[in-house]
Amino acid sequence: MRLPRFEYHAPERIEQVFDLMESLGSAAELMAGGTDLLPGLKLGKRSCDHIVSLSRLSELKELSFNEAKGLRIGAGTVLADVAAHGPVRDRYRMLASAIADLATVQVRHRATVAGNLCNASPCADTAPPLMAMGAIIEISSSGGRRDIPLEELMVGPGSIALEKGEIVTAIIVPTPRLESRSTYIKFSPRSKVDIAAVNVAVSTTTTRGRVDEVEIFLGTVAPTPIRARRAEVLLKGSHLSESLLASAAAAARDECLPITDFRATEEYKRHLVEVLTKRALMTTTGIA
Amino acid sequence: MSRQTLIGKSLPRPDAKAKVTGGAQYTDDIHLPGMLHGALLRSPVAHARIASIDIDRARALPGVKCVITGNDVPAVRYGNWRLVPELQDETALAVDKVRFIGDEVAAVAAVDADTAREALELIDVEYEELPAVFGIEEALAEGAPHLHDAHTDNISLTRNIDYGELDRAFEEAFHIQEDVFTTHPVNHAYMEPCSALARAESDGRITIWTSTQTPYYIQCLLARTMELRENDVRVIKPHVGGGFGGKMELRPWDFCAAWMAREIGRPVKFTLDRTEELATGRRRHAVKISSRIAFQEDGTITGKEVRAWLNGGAYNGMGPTATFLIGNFGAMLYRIPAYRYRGLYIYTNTPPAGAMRGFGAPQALYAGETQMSQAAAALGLDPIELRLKNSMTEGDEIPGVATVGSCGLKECLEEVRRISGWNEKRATLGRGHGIGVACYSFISGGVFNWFNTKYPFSSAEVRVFDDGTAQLSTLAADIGQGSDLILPQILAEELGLRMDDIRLVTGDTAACPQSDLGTWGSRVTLMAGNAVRRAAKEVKERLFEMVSLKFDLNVIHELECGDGHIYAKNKPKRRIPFGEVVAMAQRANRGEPIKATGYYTPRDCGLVSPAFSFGAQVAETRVDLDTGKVEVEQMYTVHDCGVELNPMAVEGQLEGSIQMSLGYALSETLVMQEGRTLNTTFLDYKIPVAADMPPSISKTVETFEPAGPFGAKEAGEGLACPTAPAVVDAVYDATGYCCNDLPITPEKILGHLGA
Amino acid sequence: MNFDATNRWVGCFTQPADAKQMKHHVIRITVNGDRHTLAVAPHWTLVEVLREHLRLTGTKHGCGTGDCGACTVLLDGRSVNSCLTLAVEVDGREITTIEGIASSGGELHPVQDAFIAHGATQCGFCTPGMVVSSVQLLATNSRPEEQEIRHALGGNLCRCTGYTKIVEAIAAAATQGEEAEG
Repeated sequence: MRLPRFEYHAPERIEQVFDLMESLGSAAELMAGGTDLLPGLKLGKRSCDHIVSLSRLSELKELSFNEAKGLRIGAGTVLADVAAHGPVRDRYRMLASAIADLATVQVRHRATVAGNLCNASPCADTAPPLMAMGAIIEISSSGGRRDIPLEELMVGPGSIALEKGEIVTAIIVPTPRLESRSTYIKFSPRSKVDIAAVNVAVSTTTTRGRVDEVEIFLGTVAPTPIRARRAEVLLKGSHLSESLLASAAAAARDECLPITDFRATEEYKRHLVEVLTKRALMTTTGIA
Repeated sequence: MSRQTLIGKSLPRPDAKAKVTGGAQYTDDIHLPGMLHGALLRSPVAHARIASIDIDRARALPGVKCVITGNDVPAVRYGNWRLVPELQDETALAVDKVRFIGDEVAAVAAVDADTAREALELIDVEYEELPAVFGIEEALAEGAPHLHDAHTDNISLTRNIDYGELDRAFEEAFHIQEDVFTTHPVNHAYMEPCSALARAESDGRITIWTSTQTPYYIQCLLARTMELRENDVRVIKPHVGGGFGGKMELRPWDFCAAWMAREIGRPVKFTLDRTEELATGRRRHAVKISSRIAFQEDGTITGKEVRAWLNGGAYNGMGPTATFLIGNFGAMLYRIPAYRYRGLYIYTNTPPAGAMRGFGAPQALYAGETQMSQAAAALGLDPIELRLKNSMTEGDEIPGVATVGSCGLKECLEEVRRISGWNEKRATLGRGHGIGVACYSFISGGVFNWFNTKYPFSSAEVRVFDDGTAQLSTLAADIGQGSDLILPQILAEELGLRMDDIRLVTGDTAACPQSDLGTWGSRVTLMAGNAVRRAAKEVKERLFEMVSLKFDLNVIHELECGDGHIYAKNKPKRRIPFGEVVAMAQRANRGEPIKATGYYTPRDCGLVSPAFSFGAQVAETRVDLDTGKVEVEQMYTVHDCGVELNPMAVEGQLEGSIQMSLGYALSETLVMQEGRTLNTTFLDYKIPVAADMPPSISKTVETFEPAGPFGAKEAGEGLACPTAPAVVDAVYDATGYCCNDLPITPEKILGHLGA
Repeated sequence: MNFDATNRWVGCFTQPADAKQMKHHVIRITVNGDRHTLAVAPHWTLVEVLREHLRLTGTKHGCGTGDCGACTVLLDGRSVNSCLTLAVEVDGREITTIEGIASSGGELHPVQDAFIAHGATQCGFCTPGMVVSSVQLLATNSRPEEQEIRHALGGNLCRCTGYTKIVEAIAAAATQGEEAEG
């Protein structure tokens, strides 16, 4: 399968990227690893006349952690490097495990977290965990920089909240609370290497049997990964019990908006949301 | 002296080094000077009359060298069923009508692949859409639109078998097990996409390199469509990256490459995309099977009736054979005194179905074996006991068509029961955890000459040289199964030489003896193996004459080949190096080379196959009762493939079969919507990966098959059949849910559990 | 254009002079130790350039979407799908294909020896990608557990072997490597 023809630009300075994206507008696609964009172009699901590559921008390959600022993942950092990063493995285990389950070794050597998020696939593996960890997206343009919560980045399948000339330059993930516990479950009934039928990220903080903080994010069951707010409301401040977790899981089931595809039907995805949300909550809260 | 034997040795493949270093050449790896790249325009609609095709814009694109449509080439209908010309219903490019989404309409050759592809977009085709049919019921409905003008309905072929007094069996039955099953279309997913490269020689003859299992069929059918003599077409089969039944027919790209090469005088290569393969390629038939079996109270089968409706797709190709095979495989495992079979092959506006590993057997055995386990439950018997009670043994008859030779089915069942711990596990593992069983029987090549060849089914030429080496020439086609290992292994054994003393010439119709029907039906080891042995025996006779003269032995059978020598059996010190004997024989005969050709064509062995193999498999599964996800935890297989010539090669067949069959049972299906295949990448068409594979324990029950070389018989396809019904039975044991409509999905299980 | 003497100019691509003709980019790459200077169209993938222009056909094109892994090569020592890598993106970088896995003297890598001895090749079309992925795995994990091997092969599909003998071969190569070190 061959790619359609396009022009290729690989600026060495970020200002050139802004200029190009501004002048080319929707005729251009920004490319990090290319592992989603290129198959999309080959299959005719996407099209563009220009590709603007981030490959020569060494400043985007940053990967750093400090206790105060959290984790900073440059838009050009590949998944394999993120997953192998010591602080990620120690402190952001949910992210490390989501990356370990994402695609294949070969893809993880090319693909980036920013690319995974900016493709805005409803099933993006890194989105629910990063959302549950409160990730911030750093957006840059010739006009300057702005930060938005990751939750606001994706607006629909394949669509993100960037203005013309803006690009995502980094993902900043706050340092997790030491007392919080989190888990990520990716579920495919077909294979160990597959796109998720449903993915769930849960993070909870509890004291003496009471839920202080909770974040539940669901992937693949709405046009974008979504927050299970009603489930969270049920949980927050309540005393832990299996029936509480079951009611929260049922609430998550009701608030998602899945569609039928070849991996699963709408009804089955709803059912999975309930089962997996409950399992994830049981894991993080230790309630069996 | 006990002679070293190569039979039963796990020798590595002679081509493995080329394969691990990237040196093995496949068709798309070949580049010829001046070569052009081809691309095919395919129909976007399922059924339509072609009102017009305008190729002018495409022709005008710089770099485009040739554009052809069905109007530019002879409308020769072809297909593997040469014996019944009415079944040959396909043309290389659509003439007047298209009948499925993907039907080939036009072809382009251009200086590079990009230009060829871009030219396709410049071909303007006007379609007048016609009503279409996609499923079996629709196609058979009164007044349904029909696909082919030669037929008044959509039935392409029927096959009936009537054997014994069936009605009485059902009247007197203690229990009648009656079920309806449906199966889904799946793709071969061979790793190498189809590819063909053709060159017109200066004398007008054609040379074609193509990824095929059957060079001889390509030669015959390409000659016919090109209006050439068969010998004017030379087919070369480079390394082939798997076939599994999907590469045994002449396909449009073979023809278009050859035709355009002749038109323009430059070589033309076509290589399909994976999306083309999945969206339009051949597939395993979706079949509806209605089956009932009559049992006595003790579980003895007294009769069986099978009705099968095969969704054949838009053209016959090789597909209708499955109508015959499902009939045979419906009654090949157990003694069935009365049998009735009705098979219907049905046209629909979907991509044509064809041979795929087992060719009818996976569907027939899924239905038949699921029924056996269900009948056992109804009769209150153990599923293995029920099978043992009825299992075929040597000398039993396959209703009306053949007698079983060697048969280790009972031993396989008993052994698999033992190694799997069946008696301790069945019905006792607890909810969500189950164990299931299924058996198979399979053929070692076909007897029926549907290709209507006038040549032997297999041929092998053996030449020996005075340097102590030998050359084996055969058109038997290695597509990954390993005949380039096994046939030299057989020859080395016969001649007492080492593997690296054997030079193999294969895969070239101009260099190999006519003929070999190719790789299908698990025929190669038995048929080509016998041909090799016959050639070797003739060569040995010539050489033994020399040695017997020299040592003054008057009986030729006192001699033997071994260790690179020919020696007297009782006096092994009286020996002469192999090459010296060859030299003696040549000197004694004016230098004429020592060579012989051996042939094999099955005779007097019924209508199906010269030999039958058997096996039993047990699957242990765990079902997540909340999500319905099935995890296959362990496979146990015991099978009878006669004498294992190369155990490592046999294991490879078994392990690969389990992968393909777990996919068939659980994860693979071509999702169809109005004739369109929706999942056309490996992201969406899910074949199992390494981490999906369960551990597997296997054993063989060794029988000696008199019809096979050194007692060997089939080991490549039958094993692809029991896994799906074994998993179905295990899921039944775990959950009480019996899947009658493959594949098993979590949703079906949850539906049954009422979750 | 100027090329230094050690660089081989692999050019002269037949290109139709059509309006959509995009600008070619000149890249310098090292493949299996050999340096090449190439003019490539922006939409050419690495697998196409390796196979069609450098005629290194050991790398296979099995799906084009990064799912089968037959096109796996090492890019600066890391396995990637060459069907999902633009040739223009690898300017200045080092590529190892299946042809470069054995030593330049022709001595096979332990993984290659093990694939042969364990019967891990059947049709052989997935083999180059499998071998490259295995070499990558052992470079990062010299003694992988069976499940680690299976997980690492998630990007390499095989339709013949059921993966069993491939996994056995990799485990054996790892053991052999360890013995060689010890």
